Amino acid sequence: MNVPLIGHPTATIGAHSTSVRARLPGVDDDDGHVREGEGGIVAEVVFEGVSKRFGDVVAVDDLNLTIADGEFMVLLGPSGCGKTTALRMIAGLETVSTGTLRIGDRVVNDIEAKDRDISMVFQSYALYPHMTVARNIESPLLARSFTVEGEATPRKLHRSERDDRVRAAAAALGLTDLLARKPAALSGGQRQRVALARGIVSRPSAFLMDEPLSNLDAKLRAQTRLEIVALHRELSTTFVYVTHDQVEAMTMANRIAIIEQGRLQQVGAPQAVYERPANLFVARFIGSPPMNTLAARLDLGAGAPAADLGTAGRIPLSGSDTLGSLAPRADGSEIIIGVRPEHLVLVDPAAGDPAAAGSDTLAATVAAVEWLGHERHVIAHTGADGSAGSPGSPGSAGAPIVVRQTTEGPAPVPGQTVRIRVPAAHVHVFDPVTTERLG
Amino acid sequence: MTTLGSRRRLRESALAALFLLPSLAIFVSFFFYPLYRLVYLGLHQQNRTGSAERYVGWSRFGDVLTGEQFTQGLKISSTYVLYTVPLGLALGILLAVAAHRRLRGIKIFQTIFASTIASSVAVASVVFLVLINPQVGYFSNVGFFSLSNPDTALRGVALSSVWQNLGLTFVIVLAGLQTVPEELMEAATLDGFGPIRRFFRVTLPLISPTLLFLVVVLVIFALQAFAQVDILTSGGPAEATQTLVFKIFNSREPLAQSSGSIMAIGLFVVTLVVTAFQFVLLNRRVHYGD
Amino acid sequence: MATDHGGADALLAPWKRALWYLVLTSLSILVLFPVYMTLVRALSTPAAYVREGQPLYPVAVQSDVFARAFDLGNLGPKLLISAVVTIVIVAAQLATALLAAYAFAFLDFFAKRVVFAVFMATLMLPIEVTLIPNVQTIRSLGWIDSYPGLVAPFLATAFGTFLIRQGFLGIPRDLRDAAQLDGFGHLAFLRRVAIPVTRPIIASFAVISFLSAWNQYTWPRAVVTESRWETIQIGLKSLTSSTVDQNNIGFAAAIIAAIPVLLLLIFLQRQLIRGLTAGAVKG
Repeated sequence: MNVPLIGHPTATIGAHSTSVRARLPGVDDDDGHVREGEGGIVAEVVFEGVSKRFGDVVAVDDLNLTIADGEFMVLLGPSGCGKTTALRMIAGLETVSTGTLRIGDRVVNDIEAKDRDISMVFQSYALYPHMTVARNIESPLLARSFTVEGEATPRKLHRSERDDRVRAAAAALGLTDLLARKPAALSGGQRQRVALARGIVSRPSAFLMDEPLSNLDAKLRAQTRLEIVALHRELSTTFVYVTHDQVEAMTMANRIAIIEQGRLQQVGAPQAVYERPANLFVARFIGSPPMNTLAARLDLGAGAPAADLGTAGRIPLSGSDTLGSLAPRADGSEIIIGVRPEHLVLVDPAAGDPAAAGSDTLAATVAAVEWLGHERHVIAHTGADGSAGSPGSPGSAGAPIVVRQTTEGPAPVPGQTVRIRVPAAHVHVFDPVTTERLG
Repeated sequence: MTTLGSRRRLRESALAALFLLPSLAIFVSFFFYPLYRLVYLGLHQQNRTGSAERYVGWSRFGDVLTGEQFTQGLKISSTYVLYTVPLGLALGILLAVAAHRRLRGIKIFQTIFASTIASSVAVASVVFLVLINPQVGYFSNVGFFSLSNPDTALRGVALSSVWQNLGLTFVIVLAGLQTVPEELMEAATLDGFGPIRRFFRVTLPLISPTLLFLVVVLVIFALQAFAQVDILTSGGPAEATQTLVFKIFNSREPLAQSSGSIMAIGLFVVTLVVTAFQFVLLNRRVHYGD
Repeated sequence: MATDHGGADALLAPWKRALWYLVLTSLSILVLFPVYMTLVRALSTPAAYVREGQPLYPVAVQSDVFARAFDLGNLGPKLLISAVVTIVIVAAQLATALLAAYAFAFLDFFAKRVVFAVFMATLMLPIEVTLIPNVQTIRSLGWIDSYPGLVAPFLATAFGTFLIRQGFLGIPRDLRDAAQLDGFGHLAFLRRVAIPVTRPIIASFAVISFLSAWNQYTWPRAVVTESRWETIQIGLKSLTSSTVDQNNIGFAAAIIAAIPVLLLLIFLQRQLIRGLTAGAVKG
């Protein structure tokens, strides 16, 4: 099924169609940026040293994060990392234990959820099962007060005003024909769109989403990703989006905030985070298959530092951008090097490949080859004999390495001894104790 | 400045108080205050009009609880339990097992079996007047449950209860049977279990928590028996059908209130023991069931 | 009765099937015989029926017996009192139980567990136990022979509170959060979301509440002294004991007294059975 982009058959991704914009309830004046709501125009969301404790459990630990006005921010992390708690604090569904939370120019720590000028899409969609689609979309308009254009003080909306907004939101998401239905009579994708329509109908200054795609099948998820991105562009509202799915984070976000065990690990644009992970957690969490990490010893050598992997070989670090920060470290200190699977190159010494003799290669034994159709993954163990060592100790043989290859060319076979070239420019170096990136 | 959290908690506490107050007012006035009054009345003997009272002390409790009135009432109520519960349960299981199968028109039979739910205790008693009234009852010449013989009258009263509770018993047992997974029965069939063995080895153990619940409900119903006695025998003949509640009911006048209250406390304790028994047994069952 | 699947009976041999019909029919006769005989006795002229030797069929049929039951037995006022008492009790129990259940399910307050235990403790105190002091209370309030006296102890219900609370606890947290963001206060959430979403459970409770209120005997018998305040249930006793030569009127009255609940059984069977089996069957 080809779902039209946010319900508008003529709109295409990337086209700033004014017709769509005019129909969206969040934007109704010429420049498309002045939104209603008490919070004013600027709707940045700022965490200043925010913590949340449930009894003895620290769910969010001293979070400092500024989400810019109009930004699409994704909070990414494994389940239970505190990202949803952070989102629920913005929503006002959880109180802030310590620290300051601001939306726009207001400190909202003690402001009720309904007065924060935000809306939220829940993982389960949280549609009222006994209400029609129209009543569901209308529900945020019933009890809250809104500033209506040309009027000074916020007030409850009249029935006709509510109906207009419901119709506009439904039209924007292609739900016009479903307004009289109950949620039980809708498909998963339709329910998701009702949840989105309910989110935009109140024209919030920030739009919160908690794993909104996790109940959709893979195909619909890919489609809806694009629609949400387009929705963000049309509304130019601040979006805060929680997910554990790095694909969603990479494809949708302006910036990603990676959270683990209640602590912020790194914030940045998706590509920047991918290219320069700030620590081992981010390095291993972002990317699929994940970055290879190997324990090594720093060998400062004579002005040409290298990572010593014992019997597996030596990898020069001269091309690495971390070079400068390595100099003050003691010769022989433990480090962890990381290389993404796509940067590794398999060279076959038997085939007389001249690169095999290069100093930037590791000896390894192929353990398995996984075919994925468009590419293949070669899983190898360091060390010529493939014997299992203890992967944690530096320089030991047996640490698993994944090499990503195209499906062209001859594939290695399990048991085969190979050499893996590790391009120095793509080597990341981490401190094994602090797990921080060096450089 | 108050924080959001404390504000919410305060507001919720105030609202909770408001929401719980109506129920609590009723419960205090008609459940807990009377419990205190029962003890008070038990300790004080009223005069004929209830205008004066004197303290008689805790010894009155011992006197009443070992006295003729209470022990007789307890004996009659216990006998009543024995007459009604096993028979009612067995008949209910029989009806439920018979109606728990795929047959055309089974719903009609199920509705018929459940139909005595529509009958109150009073209606059931009148219906049984038709059947066993000593003068004009259809079975008035059957000696086994004759209402005119002190030795058999309680059986007649019990029959009306058994019939009246049949619908409820049937409905609950049937609901229990419907929770037994069909695959389990099929597996038992494949294991070569015949229908009788299947029932006793698979079905009965699985619905035993339901049956236990039912036993407690039926026992408590039987301990509360009043209307059937009031309508069918008025406690006679020769006080042979005066259940505990019947005796308590007829102790409303000031002169009898003291002993009536102590008997009511006795009934309360018996009810508590029965319910506690259910909890203990049920917990053990659930534990072993895991 | 929700479903009529049985054991492995789908492929019954015809003779076995016939046997089961025979069993089911016999059991039906056993269950219905008392009702049938009551109908026979209600329709028969009492003296003629006894003269005929109490047969299985009506004798000298009085087709107007039900109408006469209203005239001679004064059933109209008794039915009215029962109806008023029942409606007040059901309405009050719904109101108090909904509010209390909401507090237990959605509000955070001091000593919640203790208060809940207090509610549940009332299940251990049947009216039979507290009868003597409660009648005293009603008498001191001047409520003997009055509607307040008939309904007062039954305006709150621990059973209903528990049942509805269970229903409320089944409402997903996301739905409560969404309502909070929508700006629904607690009353709005109760009215707009909690009650509509748990309607099946509330309906089941209402049916059970109706059943027990309509069928009450012991309490009205204790607080009614004048026959004009008799409910239909306690009216049955006076009708059957006062009219020996016209006892068919009492039998007709018993049938009339059962009709409201019979209608409930026919039209709200699902709710009734769900309510009756609540607590008895897990899952």
